[in-house]
Parts: sequence; structure tokens; C-alpha cells
Amino acid sequence: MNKWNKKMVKKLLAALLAGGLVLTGCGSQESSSGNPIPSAAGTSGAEAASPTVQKGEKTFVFGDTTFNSENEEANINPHDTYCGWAAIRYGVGETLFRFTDQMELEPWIASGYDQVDDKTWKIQIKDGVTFSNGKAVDAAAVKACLEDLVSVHERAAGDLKISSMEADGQTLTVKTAEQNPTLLNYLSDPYGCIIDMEAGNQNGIVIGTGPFAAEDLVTDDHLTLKKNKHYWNGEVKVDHVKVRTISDGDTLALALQSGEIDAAYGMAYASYPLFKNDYYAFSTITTSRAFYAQMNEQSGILKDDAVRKALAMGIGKEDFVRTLLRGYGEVANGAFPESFSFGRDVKAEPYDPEGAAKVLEEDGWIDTDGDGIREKDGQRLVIRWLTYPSRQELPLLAEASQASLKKIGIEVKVNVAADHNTLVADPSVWDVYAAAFVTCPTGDPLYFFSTHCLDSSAKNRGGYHSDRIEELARQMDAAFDPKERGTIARQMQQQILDDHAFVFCSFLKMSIVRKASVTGLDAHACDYYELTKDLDIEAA
Amino acid sequence: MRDVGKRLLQLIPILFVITFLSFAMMHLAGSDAVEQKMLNTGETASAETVDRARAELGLNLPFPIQYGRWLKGLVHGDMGVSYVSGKAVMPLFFSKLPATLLLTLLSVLLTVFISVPLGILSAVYQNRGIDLLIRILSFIGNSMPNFFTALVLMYLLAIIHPIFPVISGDLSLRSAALPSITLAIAMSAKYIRQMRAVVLKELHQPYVTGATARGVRFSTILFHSVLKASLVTIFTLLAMSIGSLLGGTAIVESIFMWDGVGKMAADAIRMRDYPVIQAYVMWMAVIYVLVNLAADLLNRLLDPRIRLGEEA
Repeated sequence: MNKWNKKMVKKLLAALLAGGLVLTGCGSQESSSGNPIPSAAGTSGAEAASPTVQKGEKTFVFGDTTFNSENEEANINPHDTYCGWAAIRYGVGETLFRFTDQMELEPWIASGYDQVDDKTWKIQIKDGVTFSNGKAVDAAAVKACLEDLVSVHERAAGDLKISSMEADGQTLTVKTAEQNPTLLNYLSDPYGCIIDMEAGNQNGIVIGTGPFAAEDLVTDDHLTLKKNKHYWNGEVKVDHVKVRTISDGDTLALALQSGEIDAAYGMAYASYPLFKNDYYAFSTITTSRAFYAQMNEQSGILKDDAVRKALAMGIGKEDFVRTLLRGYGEVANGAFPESFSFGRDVKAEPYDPEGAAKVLEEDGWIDTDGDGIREKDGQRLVIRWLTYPSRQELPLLAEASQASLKKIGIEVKVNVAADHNTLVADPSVWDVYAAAFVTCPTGDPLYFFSTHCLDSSAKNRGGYHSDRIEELARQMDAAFDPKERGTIARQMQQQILDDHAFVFCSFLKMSIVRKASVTGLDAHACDYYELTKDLDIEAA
Repeated sequence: MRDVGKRLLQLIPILFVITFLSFAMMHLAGSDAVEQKMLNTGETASAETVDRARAELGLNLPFPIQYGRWLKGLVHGDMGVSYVSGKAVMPLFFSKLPATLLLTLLSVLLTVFISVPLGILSAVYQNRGIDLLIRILSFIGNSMPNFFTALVLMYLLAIIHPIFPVISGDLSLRSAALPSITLAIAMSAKYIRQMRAVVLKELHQPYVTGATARGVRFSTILFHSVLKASLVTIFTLLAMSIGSLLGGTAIVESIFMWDGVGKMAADAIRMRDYPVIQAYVMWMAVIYVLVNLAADLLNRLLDPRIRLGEEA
């Protein structure tokens, strides 16, 4: 039996070994960049890299967690829901105007504009701009595109308020149904990408004017692009691009480590340290995605301004950003980052635990039973903090606030609920609602106030009311001069901060992580522009 | 044949009950596709806009009417349109199926290939060093959650030793290798122990003692009698696993970006995409019934006692 057993062990082990070889055979590499770079782990993991430079042609592979139908980006047709984000990010589409990193407008496909009256705009289209199929872009092509947009895209129609358009050569005259000071801002929204309507829409693929033309699209999987040989704005350096949808953050990081992708968008903060070395580079910029706490003015305890003021003074924003966000955020004062012209010169309550404690004491909130939590008229100072888990920063903000507010005698009961929309609709079940919101997506400050601070605002969940805010909103609605709008925006921010209606905690710093060999790929404040003609890959 | 027909007929009430239950449970979940999409995009829409979007999808209708409409469509061969992608559900579902079938086939083959020899080895060398080693490995394999195994394998076989890709690019063996190995590790860890137990039980049967006493070679006893007898149990267990694998493995498919039905179902549940969820639920019911039926038929073929018992 022993003799037989030895034979059998050999046979079984041989079978296992053969199986292993079969598997290894399956894993033989199809291609390699020939340019291995050490992975973040310090090994040569990138040998299985994407073939970045082959036969003199450059291919760039981009991993993105956000390009999917769940974000309403099922294709790249800008006239379909939020698909314009994919069109503009991946360099297929361009808009008439674009945003600088200070969120100020500058011409792009347009060369300039004249405002004839409150409802009439003359927009000049640049000479020499072509679609990726070589067809010239004139006012008639832009008119056809925008007419289709407002007929099929409800949000765009509501924002633009276009009543009629006339095309004459390179001049497009736009009339709006009512005065619309933010027309140019909304024309710069991704849905405003100018596409060739005559070329049609093939399975969600459209013809734009950008540096890349789409070749193939599989929703929730990938988009392949090729260099636009007719690009009007200079030479495009990369020949082929593949955008891969990678929904899992860990997989995204591992794919960049293994070299399968050349750059990544949407990586979790926790993975950043893996790429803090010479082989990778970060492009980071502060965006207007704010993490804020909104006060429930209908809640008994928060009707007391002293409590709201103490909350504003007692939340340790710096600690939250430095420790929990690992520095990948910017401490907020008002509703907009300081890099935006209307984000400066507003004054929020500074972090001052002693001052906050004093405010509460003067208002009669005293810890009489020695349990560390203050009471007044028999009521404990307990705040019900409602937030949601889909933004990784929000549960962390809740924990940070819970810890810092406890130091001044406020107990915070945190409720992190996926079903927060149902809960927040009932003002009797929460005191503070913490959320994330892009306060200035189109470069105009009124958006935040009109969605959050007015009596008619859809997101005025706490029932905040201010006569002055209502008046200032009316003034901004009628103001066309960006400087005047900025001045009003600063006044409005100061008012809501003085009323302690909101505590703005931080702004998201958005990062694109790329291989060091990749250049010309930068993060932008508006989060719209990613792949441009400047994208390049240095050969070994 | 009569029994097969009967089992297939049982599918009809099963499908009705489970599709109704899944529909009801999704409605109890407290949000819908319109709300989920708004949450993802951060859109600030007026109540009228939201109501209109719900009305377009029929989400404003009472639950029984929504279910009735879906059922009526199904009877006419129409499984509806995805609330998220806007694509017809049936072609969407069938486009994901090849990936899941390939993953199932490879992971089952790998599982059998690993667990049968190791299970036999472990049983033959009961309580010896090799048995102990195999049991420890099996214990570790059982303890590791799939996502952890997946990340470890990615690190080892895609980064440290770049043999396989992290993200699957196509339906190739190379792309399928890591997800298949991940699934096979978890299943093998379970089946090695099952195989060991079944073989041990058979080795202690009187017919083995008798055959040994008559001088029959041990290998003949093992491969001609013991293994054959053990196959009934193994096939039943494998059938259950195949059923589960055909339903897709949401976590493994999501981690490796393997575009199969499991990932599709997980995405649909997150987005409250009812028509896609219903298609998935139906698929699960059908494969469980069919796979169990296949296992029963195979057992009947392999085990004469079952056939004889029925005939008697």
C-alpha cells in the first residue's frame, strides 16, 4: 500500500502541476509596453502595462470610476441626460465658452459675444473650427445643435430659456424668452457641446469638435477614441485613447499599479499614498463640491441662534481636513472656494471651542449634572446629525463633528442613512443635515442660493428664511455684470453665515493620478476638462 | 420524462411567486430609479420634474398595477426597458450571459481539478502530514472572503508577478483567469473537505475490506469503486455551486470588471432598476430548477440504488 501510495501521490501532484502550467500558459502576455516602470509596490509590476507606444503610435488608457449609466453617462451624446460630461471630459466635445480655473468664462469655439439687449445676444463663432469629420462649424451648425438640445433636454431648455435663434455666417443671434444673465454660463455646461447634427448619433456616438473622435462605445465598460486629424486648435499628440469604466476604487488603484491604465480618476483617498513616489504624478485642484452642514430652523433646539453659533464655532474643520481627509480637501469659509473671485472676503465663525462654550453658557446652556453634556430648562443639548454614506467624506465629517462638539458639551447623535432623502423630508427627525453639493457648476454663484437658501428652493430643507437673501437674489437675477453678481454673492454668503444657517466645512480637492510619463493631463476646477490636445506620453 | 415535465411545470408558480416577492421587496426598499439617478448626479430638480420622470417610468402607479404591467409584458415576450440605461432588458441580459457562462465553466473545472485530487490525498493519508497541510489550506481558503482573495491574487499575479491582468478586457482565458481562480479557491476549500469526508466514509465500507482481502489493488478499489460511489455526493454539491455561479458572483465580477449577470444584478439593485432585477430573478429561478433537475438525473444514472429503488 505504501508503494502504491507514493505512486498515487506522484500522479496526483503531477496532475496539479499540469493544471498550474495550463493556467500559467493562459497568462502569457499578449503585449508589453517594453517600458516597465516599478509599481507602487516597488516591483516591476508595470510590465503587464498597456502598450503605450507601439509602431510609432501612442495609446493612452484612462481608468474612470464615474463613466457609467448610474451617473447618467450611458453614452457621449451631450443631448442625453448627463452624457455631455463624458463628451467634454474625454475630448470629444467642446462648448462655445469655457471656464478658467477661477471659474471665469473665456471663449472656446466662440471668439466673442455682444449683448444687444437684456434678451438678445450675438455670439461670434471662430473661423476655422471644424468637426472631427472635417466639416466646418458655422452659426447654422451651432443653431441646429442648440435647437435640438432645447427640444430634447428639459434641464438645458429650462436653463437657457432660448426663444429663437438666427444664423448668419459665423454670427449666431440668440433671443431668450426672459432676461437670462447666465446664458453664456449655461452654454458652457457639458450639455452645450457643439455636435454635428447632420452626422447623427450612432449608438450614442456623436461627432464633436474636440481633439478626439469616438470609435467604439460599450456602456459601463469602455469608450475608444482616436486622434482627430482635423483638430482646429493644434496638433493632437496621442493617437488612441481607451477610457475604461472601473467602478471599484481598489481595482482602479491596482490597475494603475499594474500598468494596465496610464491614469486614474476617482481613486479613494486611502490609495493615494501608494502613488506618492517618483513613478506617478498627481494633478490636484480645489473644486466647488462643498461638504456642509445645513441647520434645521424648524427644530426646537436650533431655533436658538446661540446653539447654531456654537455649532459653527465648535466644528473642527481644520482637523477634519488635515486628519480624516489626509489633506485632500480645502477648509471652507463660505459657499465657494477662495480660488473663485466671489469666494473671497467672506468671514465665517472661526474654530473657537472656548468661545463656543462661552456663547452657550451666556445663553443658559450649562452642564448641571456633570455628565459632560449641557442642559437648559431640563433639556439636554443633543443634536441629531443626519447624513448619508455614498460620499466617503460625509460619515467622516459626522464623526469629526461628534468628537469636536462633545468638547464643548454638545452631544451629537449621528444617523448615516442611505435613505436620507426620505428622512430629511421630515423636519421633526433631524437637526443638522450634512451633505455634499457642487455649489458653482457653471461659474455662476446664484445657483447655490437658488437651490438652497430661498423660500422657493428645493433644497432649503431646514426652512431658512431671510428677507435680505430674498432681496439680494432678486438683485442678482437682474444683474448681467459678472463683477456685480460676484459682489452680491459675497453679501449673500455673509448673510447666511451671520444667520448661522449653514456651516461650510470643506471643499473637495479633485485629483487625477497618472504615470510620471504622462503629461498634459490636469485636473480643472469645474471638473469638465480632462483629455485635451496637450495629453502626451513620453516614450522610453 | 414525466417527472421532467412535472418539474418544468413547477417553474410557472415558482416564477410567479418569486417575481412578485422581489417586486414587492424592491418597492419596500424606500427609493426608486429616479431618486437614485438624481442622487448620483447631484441634480436639483423641482418636484414637478421628479413627478414627471416617475410618471414616464410608471413609478407613480400603485404597486400591483406596476407588477401587472410587467407581467403582461413578460407574457408577450417583453421584459421591459432598463430604467437606467434605457436599453431593452432581454438583449441586455443575454449580452452579459456569455461572460458568466465562461466564468462558471472555468471556475467549476478548476474546482474539480483542485478539490478531487487533494480530497482523495487527504483521505488516503488521513491524519498524516499531507492531510494536515491540506486541511489547513482548506481552512484558510474557507475563511477568506472572495473580495480579499481577489485583491491578494491581483497583487500577487498582476503586480508582483504580472502574469494576468487586473481588469478583464475581453472574454479570453487570460482575462478570466484571476476571477476563475478567486472563485475556485473558495469552492475548492469547501469541496476538498467534502471530498475527503465522502472518500473516508467509502473507504470504511465492508466492500473495500472485502476487496482488499481478496487482493484487489488499492488503486483499482479507489478509482473503480470508492471514487464512483463518492461522485453522487460531489455532483449534487457541484450542481448547487453551478447554480450559484450561473447567477453570477456580484463581488468578484465587480472587482475584476467582469461584465456578467452578477455585476449587472448588483448594479440594478443599487439603482432600483426593477425590470433588470426581475429578469435576473427569473434567470436564477430557472437555473436552480434546471440544475437541480440535471443533478437528480445524473445521480440516477450514477447510482443504481436510486434507479432500482424507484423501479421496485
